[in-house]
Amino acid sequence: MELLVNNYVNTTTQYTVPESTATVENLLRRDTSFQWTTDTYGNDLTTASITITFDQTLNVSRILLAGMNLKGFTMYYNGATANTFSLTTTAGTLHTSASDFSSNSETSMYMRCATAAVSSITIDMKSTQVADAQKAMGYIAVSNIQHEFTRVPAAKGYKPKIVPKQVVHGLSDGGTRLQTIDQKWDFALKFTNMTIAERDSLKTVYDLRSTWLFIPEGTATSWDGVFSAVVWPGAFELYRYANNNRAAGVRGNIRFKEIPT
Amino acid sequence: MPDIKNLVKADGATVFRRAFIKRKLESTGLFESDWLEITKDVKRWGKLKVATDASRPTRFKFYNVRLMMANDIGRYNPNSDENSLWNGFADQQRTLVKIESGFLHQTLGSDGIWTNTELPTNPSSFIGVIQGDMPANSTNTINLNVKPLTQVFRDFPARLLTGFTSTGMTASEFMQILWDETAGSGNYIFRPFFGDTLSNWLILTTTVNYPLLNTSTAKDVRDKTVWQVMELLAEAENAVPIVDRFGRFNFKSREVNTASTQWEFYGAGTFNREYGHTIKKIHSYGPKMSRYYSRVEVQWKTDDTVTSYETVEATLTVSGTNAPWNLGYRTYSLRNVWIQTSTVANSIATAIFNDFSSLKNEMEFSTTFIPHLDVLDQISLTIDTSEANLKSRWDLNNWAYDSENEVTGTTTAQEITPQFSGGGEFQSPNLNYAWAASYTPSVDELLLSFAIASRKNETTTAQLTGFLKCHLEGDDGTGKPDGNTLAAALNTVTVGAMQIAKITATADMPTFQFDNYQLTAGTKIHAVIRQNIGYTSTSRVFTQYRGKAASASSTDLNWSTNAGGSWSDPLGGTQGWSHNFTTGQFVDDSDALIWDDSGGDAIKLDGAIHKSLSIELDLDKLETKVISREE
Repeated sequence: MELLVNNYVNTTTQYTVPESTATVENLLRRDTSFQWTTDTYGNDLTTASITITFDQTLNVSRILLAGMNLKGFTMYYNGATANTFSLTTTAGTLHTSASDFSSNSETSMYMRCATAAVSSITIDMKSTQVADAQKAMGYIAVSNIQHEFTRVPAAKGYKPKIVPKQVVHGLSDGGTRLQTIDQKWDFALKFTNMTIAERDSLKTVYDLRSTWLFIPEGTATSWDGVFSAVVWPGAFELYRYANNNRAAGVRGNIRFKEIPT
Repeated sequence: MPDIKNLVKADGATVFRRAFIKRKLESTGLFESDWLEITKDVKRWGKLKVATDASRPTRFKFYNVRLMMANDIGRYNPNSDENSLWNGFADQQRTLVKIESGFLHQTLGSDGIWTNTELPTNPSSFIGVIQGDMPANSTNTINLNVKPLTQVFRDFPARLLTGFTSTGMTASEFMQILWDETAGSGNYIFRPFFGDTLSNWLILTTTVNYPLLNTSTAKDVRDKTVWQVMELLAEAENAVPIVDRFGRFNFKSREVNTASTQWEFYGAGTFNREYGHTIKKIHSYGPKMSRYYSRVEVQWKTDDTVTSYETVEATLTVSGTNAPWNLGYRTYSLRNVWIQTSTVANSIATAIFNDFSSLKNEMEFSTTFIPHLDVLDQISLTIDTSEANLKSRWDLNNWAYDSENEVTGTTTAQEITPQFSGGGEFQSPNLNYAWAASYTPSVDELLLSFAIASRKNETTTAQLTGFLKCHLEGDDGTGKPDGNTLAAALNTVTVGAMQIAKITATADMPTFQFDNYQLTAGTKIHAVIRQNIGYTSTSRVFTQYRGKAASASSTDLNWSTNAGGSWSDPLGGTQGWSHNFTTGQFVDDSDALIWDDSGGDAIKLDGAIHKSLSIELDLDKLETKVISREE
């Protein structure tokens, strides 16, 4: 369960794409049903490249790709194909330790890598899972760790939900019709016996009053694709002691709510 | 490709709302080229509304829109604030605002690529300009007060216009000088608000010349705004000036936009698969007395003499059918000295009189989200608020074809009428079959091929055992059943489940058995089919039954002789004739067998044609509210 700094990729001007510039903004949109797609690269022998350029060198240790249809692709940084990311994982099995995939079957991936000093990232998209289809990418996040939770909450202390913004109509014959405008993640976390050191680290995060990427269970393979850009509304509650024994740590609730699109 | 009807009626759909602004450049005062989206700052959307003016039914009112914006970081502060979106641009006032809304249809292809389709294809719902105070407050919100584009005409004095000619001009010529009007710098004054394109300036061609429009200092020009001049010209031309939801200026006829129904509304007690059920609530329905006038008086000259007026009125007589006597004497007065001749004044009075001299029904109702309707659209309304009899309606009424075989003048039975007489004809809709006079077929069996359609919300699937009965009646000499039962079918008929069912096999056809009833030469008989009076059910009532041909070769009505019959089929064939009726009968759902619902109803409309007078789109509640008037 991780909190990342907000996505380093936040404007369309950071992107260089071979075509379909009108849909580049979809790469910034967390709803992966809106994708950037190629028009003329529907051939597994042709490679389309997305390049993200930063206006400063940044430390990158987390890369998120969502809503894609790529089978073979390579990610490298600073313009050199040799600079693939050295992927690490704390769970699951990667099919490669470098960011060079030839038979990927995932549509979403959350990758951890050794921290690299990055000024640009290039994704060479070579082939698609359904052969010779146009290359498609839904969302890209490039980031660094803000806070890695040392423990995950108990099952009953982890309450993620998708909250729709919708109108429920009552028709004249008593029927019901739903019209949904959008939906947002809402995460309620409850911790007990959190160490004071971790509490202090979270307090530092809280005081930033920023936005973060929250990934509850990120993996590179078989990932459930749950992630969100969130704010931390409400009180900071983690100054309560878990019990009379101070060494038992602290307890409290954390609430993360998704920001607008 | 999805259709907007499918998305409007879908019981689960995705809707979008977007807001944009176009700021004026500080250097040139012209609008920036691209729209800037501000959707994510909108906290409340408000309502978009265009309606007829209650006090002047020939005019329209355009309502303001109020968007509540989140202003936590000062994006909506004045342009002097460095955090403001307008910092580096001209003042916030008269910034263009566009609101889009519609449905989103999404599908995922097997190649992992999503297709997102928005409907309507042009999702623009409103274009206006910011005008008015925009104070900040401690809740960190700011209301954008957005006025419709007609405001640019309300703000501009007509005396500042150029392009007048000494002989005056027509209304359409006046609209042209507005399009061409420039400021001293040579920049256009009105065009920038309408996209700088003539396709957003749609003007009805008029021919009447208005000598009063001969100079900017003319008496009837100098004290008026451009909008007031437009309204006077519109009145004189039986037209309306309107800015539509795309931001296009229209100077057009006051009649319906097109003489075809743009949308059909269905409510409780109805069933329609094309448009679905959209009516949520009827706020009011009935004759609109406040829009009834027995007399229309148009003053077209300033002199206070009788010749300054053209009057069209109904004659008052003491009679049960006379409108002025029964409804009262009401006068609609219109004063417009721009009207040039008594002939024109009289035609205006006549047009208004024809519209308002009879008491017409108006309805105000709310529906689910329908983003693309325009005022003056022709619509149709179908709703039946009568109480459903949840116990039994058996034998309360008869049912039969609606139009193909409709028997007029009756109040009850409208039956399927296969008729035949010796040497006569077997007659059913679209089909005649004749046989030689020497044959007198007898009725042994009557097989029917039809489908049952239940009401939309019906859920029971039980078979209807003993549901139908049939008897034969004679002809009353005019092609209608005479009410005298000649023979009753020996059996009742069980029909299929309470859902759309198409009977395709002869064995499945409901068959009425008769005891070899012998026809008399020269007679005509009618087969009357009814719901069985002895049948009871706790299920919901039926409202429609549809006859439908299973296929081109299926049998629709199959008459056969009793066993052992010795006459031959005049069409050729063997003993025991039967006739296959090809498509042409029950060919589509319009050949419905209509339930004759003569019960009492609070509100019952069946495809009533109305003209929309007011359209209000509530973007927070995703509701459309319509006021419509009978056509």
